[in-house]
Amino acid sequence: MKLLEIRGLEIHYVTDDGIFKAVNGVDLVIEEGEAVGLVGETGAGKTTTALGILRLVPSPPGKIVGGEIFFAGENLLKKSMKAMRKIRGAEISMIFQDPMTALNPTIRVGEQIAEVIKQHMNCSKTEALSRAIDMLSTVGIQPERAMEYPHQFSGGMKQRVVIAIALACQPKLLIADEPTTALDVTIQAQVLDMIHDLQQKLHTSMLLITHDLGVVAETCDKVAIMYAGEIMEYGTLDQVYNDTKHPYTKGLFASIPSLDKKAGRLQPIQGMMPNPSDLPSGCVFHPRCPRASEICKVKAASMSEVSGGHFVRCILCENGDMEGK
Amino acid sequence: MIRYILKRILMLIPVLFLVLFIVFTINYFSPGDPVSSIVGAEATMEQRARVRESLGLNDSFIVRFGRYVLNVATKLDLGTDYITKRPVRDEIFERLPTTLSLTFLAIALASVVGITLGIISARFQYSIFDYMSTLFSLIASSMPAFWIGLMLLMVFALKFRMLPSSGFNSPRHWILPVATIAFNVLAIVTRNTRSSMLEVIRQDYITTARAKGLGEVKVIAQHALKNALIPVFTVIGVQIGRTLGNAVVVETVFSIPGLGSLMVTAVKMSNFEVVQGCIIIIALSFCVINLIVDLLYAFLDPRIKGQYMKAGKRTIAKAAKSGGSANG
Repeated sequence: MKLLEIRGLEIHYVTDDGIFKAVNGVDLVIEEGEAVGLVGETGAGKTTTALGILRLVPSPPGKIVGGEIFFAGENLLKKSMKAMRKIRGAEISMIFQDPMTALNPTIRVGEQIAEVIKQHMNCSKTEALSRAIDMLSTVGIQPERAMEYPHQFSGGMKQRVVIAIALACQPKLLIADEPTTALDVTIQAQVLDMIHDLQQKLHTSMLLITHDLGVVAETCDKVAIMYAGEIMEYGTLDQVYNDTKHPYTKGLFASIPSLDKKAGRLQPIQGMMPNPSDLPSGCVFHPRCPRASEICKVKAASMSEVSGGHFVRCILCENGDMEGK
Repeated sequence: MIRYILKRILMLIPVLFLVLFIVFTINYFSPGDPVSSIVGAEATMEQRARVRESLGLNDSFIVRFGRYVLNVATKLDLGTDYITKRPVRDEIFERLPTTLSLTFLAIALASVVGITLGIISARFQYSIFDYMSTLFSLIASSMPAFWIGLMLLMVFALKFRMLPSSGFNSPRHWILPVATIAFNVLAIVTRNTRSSMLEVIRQDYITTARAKGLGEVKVIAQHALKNALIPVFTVIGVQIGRTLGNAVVVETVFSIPGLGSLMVTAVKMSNFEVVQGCIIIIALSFCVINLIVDLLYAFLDPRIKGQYMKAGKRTIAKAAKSGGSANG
């Protein structure tokens, strides 16, 4: 059953310097209990998409200009702010990128967790606090540290607290926005494992935002590759990793160093991400695409299904030319 | 924490000494002569010399300054009013409550209104309300207190005869002088709250709070306010000091028998010891208020509290260590 379905989502940032088209017609489906990885470079619009789902895009300047977001069958974009608040933290919650700044420095850690429980679970303050302490031990923090403040915690511990806040009300969907980017390499694996375990245990669906294809391979069932506000390729891990179709995805894999192959130099994708206020015509990837032809400069590619559940946004696939390459 | 407070109180001593020295020096070299104010213009040279001798005005600078400091430090004696012959300390403490209540009423009013306006402005940035309050603060902070005081007097006391123009006996008398002082402070507090709030609202933990599903009022009151108020308290602390100084102007405009008007009269009569006493008390109040503001931070921000605590523990540990080695 589809838990989340995004159709043609468009989010723009309107500033004095122009309109920044951060998200341009994103389609994405997350089934119940499934973990989907959303991969892309910095500035591809991953975080904006995530904030869009919760309708927390900072406004002004951000604005959701088009599309639909269905969550458990209901369009979130049509809901009132009051109804949205009932969903945030209870049904959909989010783990933020930087645990250093995601916690309020003036409030005790336990209270920060208890707050979300009290907001949604309809219980007393003491009960919320005792549940918060349970939550802390779930993420591996001693209960007595609930009375401490965020500055007394290390980075990895803070991210555990953020995870505890996100999972406190057992949400149906967890959005993890680069949960390990700000952490030490040694802590990254720990935190990822914990998110993965808890997601499995609580049977929560997850949207994991990252730019690390390795992380996705370990924790997700499906993967969506995002570039300049569009989904370029979407499918199961097997489809995207072993039967890569889109030239951009191929470029991403080629730029990862491999342990078993002896390579002299990595192969970066030529060029830079386009400026979201001045996107190229036709296919957004054509200026950097090694297989671009004249038609790519004028005609935007649409999503085509190359095999069951494997979608690619490339003109070559629309025409079936991809085969034999 | 207590060690920190003690340290700060000890630091008051050099500050006050320096203030004493500067005020005393300026008084010493300033042209007026207290003797003329005491004995009158017709007094003979002999009378003048006798008064001069009895007041100890013939001694050298060092002797006079030393005697004054000694009196202040040992007996808390701020000297004698040359004219009324009463202890300066008594005169000051008679008038201090008036000045303090004027100051604190004005600061309290300005803080409550200013912080509220600032929060609303920041929350609804670029709204009509925001533009109006920004414009108002700009105008209010550009007008000097004596001018605002005179304008208020003209409108409310002279033209409409709604409020009394002088004195400080009843709440009705308080309105105009309190409003005069509050006006300036209000503008500054509003602007600072607004900018501080705008900065805090953009922080990630505010997004976290919203992502928890909290309502806007809770997000602002429980998450943003505590963090945004820290810099605002600094500003309010500084404003209290400025207001104590401003009291000279406002008390003169509204003929209020406070510290400020005492000081102005004393300056006119070259009544040096009274002037010195007033300035010392104002300087002391300023220091104490700053200390209170610094301690308030600790209650608002646990990180700062942690620093105070740590600093205390470290010195205690160091002391214990050195003590131990001395014994061994």
